[in-house]
Amino acid sequence: MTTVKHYKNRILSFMIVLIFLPALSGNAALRPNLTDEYQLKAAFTLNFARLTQWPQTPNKPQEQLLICVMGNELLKSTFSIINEQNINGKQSRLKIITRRHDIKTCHILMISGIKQSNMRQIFKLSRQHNILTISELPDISQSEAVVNFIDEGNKIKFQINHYHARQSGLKISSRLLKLAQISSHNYKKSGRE
Amino acid sequence: MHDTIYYENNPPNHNEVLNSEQNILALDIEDLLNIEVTSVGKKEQTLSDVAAAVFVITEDDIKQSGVTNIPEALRMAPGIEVARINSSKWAISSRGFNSRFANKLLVMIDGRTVYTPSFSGVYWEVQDTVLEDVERIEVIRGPGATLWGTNAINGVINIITKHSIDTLGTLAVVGGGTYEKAFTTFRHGEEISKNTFGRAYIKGFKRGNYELSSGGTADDNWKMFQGGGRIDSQLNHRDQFTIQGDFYQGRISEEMTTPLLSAPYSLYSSDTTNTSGANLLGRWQHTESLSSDYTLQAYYDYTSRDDTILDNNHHIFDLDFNHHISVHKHHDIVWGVGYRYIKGDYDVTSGSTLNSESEQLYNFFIQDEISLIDDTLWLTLGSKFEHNDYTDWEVQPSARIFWNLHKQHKLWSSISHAARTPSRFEYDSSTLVGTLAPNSPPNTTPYPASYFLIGNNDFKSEEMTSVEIGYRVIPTRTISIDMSIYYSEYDNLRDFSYGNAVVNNNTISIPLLINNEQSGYTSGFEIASHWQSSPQLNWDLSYNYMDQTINSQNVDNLQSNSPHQNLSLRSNFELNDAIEINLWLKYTDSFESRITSNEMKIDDYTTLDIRLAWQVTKNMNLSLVGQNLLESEHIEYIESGSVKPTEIERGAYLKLLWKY
Repeated sequence: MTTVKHYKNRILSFMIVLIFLPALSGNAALRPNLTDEYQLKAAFTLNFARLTQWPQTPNKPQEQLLICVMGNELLKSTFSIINEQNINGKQSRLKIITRRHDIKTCHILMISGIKQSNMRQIFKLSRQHNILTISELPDISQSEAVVNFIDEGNKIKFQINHYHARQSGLKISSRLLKLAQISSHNYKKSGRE
Repeated sequence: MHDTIYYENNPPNHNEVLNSEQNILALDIEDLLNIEVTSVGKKEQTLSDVAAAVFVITEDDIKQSGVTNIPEALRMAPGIEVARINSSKWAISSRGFNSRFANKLLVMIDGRTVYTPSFSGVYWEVQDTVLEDVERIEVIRGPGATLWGTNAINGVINIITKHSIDTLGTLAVVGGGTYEKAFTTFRHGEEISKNTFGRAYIKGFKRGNYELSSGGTADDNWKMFQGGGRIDSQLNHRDQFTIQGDFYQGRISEEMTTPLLSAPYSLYSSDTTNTSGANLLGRWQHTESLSSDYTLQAYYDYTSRDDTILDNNHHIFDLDFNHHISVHKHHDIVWGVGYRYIKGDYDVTSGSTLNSESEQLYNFFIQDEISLIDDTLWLTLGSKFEHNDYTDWEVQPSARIFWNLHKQHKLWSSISHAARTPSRFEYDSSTLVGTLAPNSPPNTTPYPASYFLIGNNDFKSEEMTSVEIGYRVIPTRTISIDMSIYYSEYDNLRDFSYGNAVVNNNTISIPLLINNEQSGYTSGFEIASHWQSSPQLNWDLSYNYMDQTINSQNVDNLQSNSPHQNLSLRSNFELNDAIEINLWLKYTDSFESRITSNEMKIDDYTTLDIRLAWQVTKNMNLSLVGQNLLESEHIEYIESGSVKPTEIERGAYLKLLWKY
């Protein structure tokens, strides 16, 4: 029957598609690399790491600075550019987080694309474990993170919640605080539990 | 397929300083603040920014509800009617028209459509995966035809499993109880190479019998075995490739009434349905720049089902391409093309006919999200153009507007037109539905009278036009409320009428003709809200009210019915780091089941499920779940003819889960 033959052709073409797809996508890698928003945010994050002091605690690695990411796929893949960078003599290591309880050893946690109620629990846990949390919500008043990225025109700015920084036991350099969009008062209001 | 993340941005801007990653990492923070990027304004399209009635069932919701399968999980979404017919059968629909063969809802698992072409509905009992691996279930009420396609008239259910980077390590589950006799799952995930991750799973279960309303066992126990896997590879910063597949096999016991042409005219018998299936899907996603990305997806899906009445196999091959591109900052465009080839092999019981046939579908869609006022007002215009072998082209346009009134107040509205295309069974089949013995009223003749449902080559698509308005509000920091109201008008709805009886060889044949002579409307509202009353305690409430009116011109109105109201209230309480207590209260209003010519009333019912979970060690979780605790049994739905009314029973199970 012709329909059966036709159908077999379909299977064949499906297999051809599968075989050639990786080859096609390999070519795409040759294109010039445009800088995107997450690369810039990754570069910012590296600077945050250099301008923050963590308390001495036994539960964090001493030789390494652990930068953790949680949430959307593009974030996870782009942040790999700040793996193995020098941060004040320590080497940065990127860790992808899938479960809330795995964040305890992180120095920095960048989080995006997670349900608000879950985020709140993660931020709460982060404060107990001295983690510099970073979000990218429309405004820091909607976040419980220490740092929040915002878009301003074609540029990226950041906001710092000094109250949450203190609660997390972090010492943030005045150089960073000066550049942050909002200064450190009026945070108690947003620092809800 | 429709990614929840999208980008609203500028056309590519080649900023020379940034052409290398190393350069950007060498810059001081002061300099970084002055850098212009190609794509600022990336915005995650969170739920609160979608101009449609959307509800997401999360991984946590599934875990906390204690459900053991996908159909039961859907009871958490407002506006979705889930009614269990017996141990292995469900009737599920959105916004009315519920039946086991509900055909106005589109269901997808990781971008693969799981409908059965013979009746355009879903065999829910074979739609399964490892529930712990489900990332979320997106439930869209109302027409979703513009982006997703035909049969997405009243809703789309999109089951999305986790990326395999999120399922590394081993998961093992064992459990069992009164109705859930035994279940087990084993899944293992590995980093195969740098940037390539994979997982494989096997699972199986055995579920018990319920009881018939008339007493005695319904003999409807069933067991399924399923396996599969997925590999995700990040080829480079721009390309992702996914390949995944599953296979399953099941044995479903049932007691069915089979109509016969000659004495004894109908046979009530125990039977086993053997069902199996397999699928393989490949998806390539390429991010050209943050203003342009595309996806190419192909899959093959095989299903086989052999029951008392019908033995069928389907082969489906599907190819889809879609491209998302932002143009001039104000236009966010998604367009795509799709092709589907379906081959159905049917073997029906004596007296009925349904020819094996192949069919093809192809489509084109385009949607433009136009930013009218930056970050405040969007207009989305789009249409799908789909060709099918029965009714040629179907045009399914929609217009949606979203108004970001205030950070805490968002309004949206939409108007759309959608079509439900004919299924094989409606087009050309002849099905024996019943035989009246000689001299048994209303058959007063000395001959047996057989009723045949006859397909109609001129059967048209069922059409619908719907208007929706939605409002999302965050009145306080701890409460969010999502509301929608809708009015939908239906035309060319399916109905049945009697044809002229034919006497032949001492038997009478009475045709039941399938027509498009009904029209009607539904209207209603839905509300979903979340309240975090304390850091340890949160509440989820969903409620819907629905009114369905069908104007029938023929006597036998076989459009099914749905309850006016459904309510679900869930609470999640974290007593401490180790113990979690979940309650789930559900209420379903009474309704008249009009699926047969005899009206049957389904009483309203309230159910309560309780889950107690104990995180015994870091790697081990023990949970005890009680389901339908308030009553020993209740009835949720009566399917026409073949399945006898069956009581859904109280049950409990214990589950042990390891992750390491």
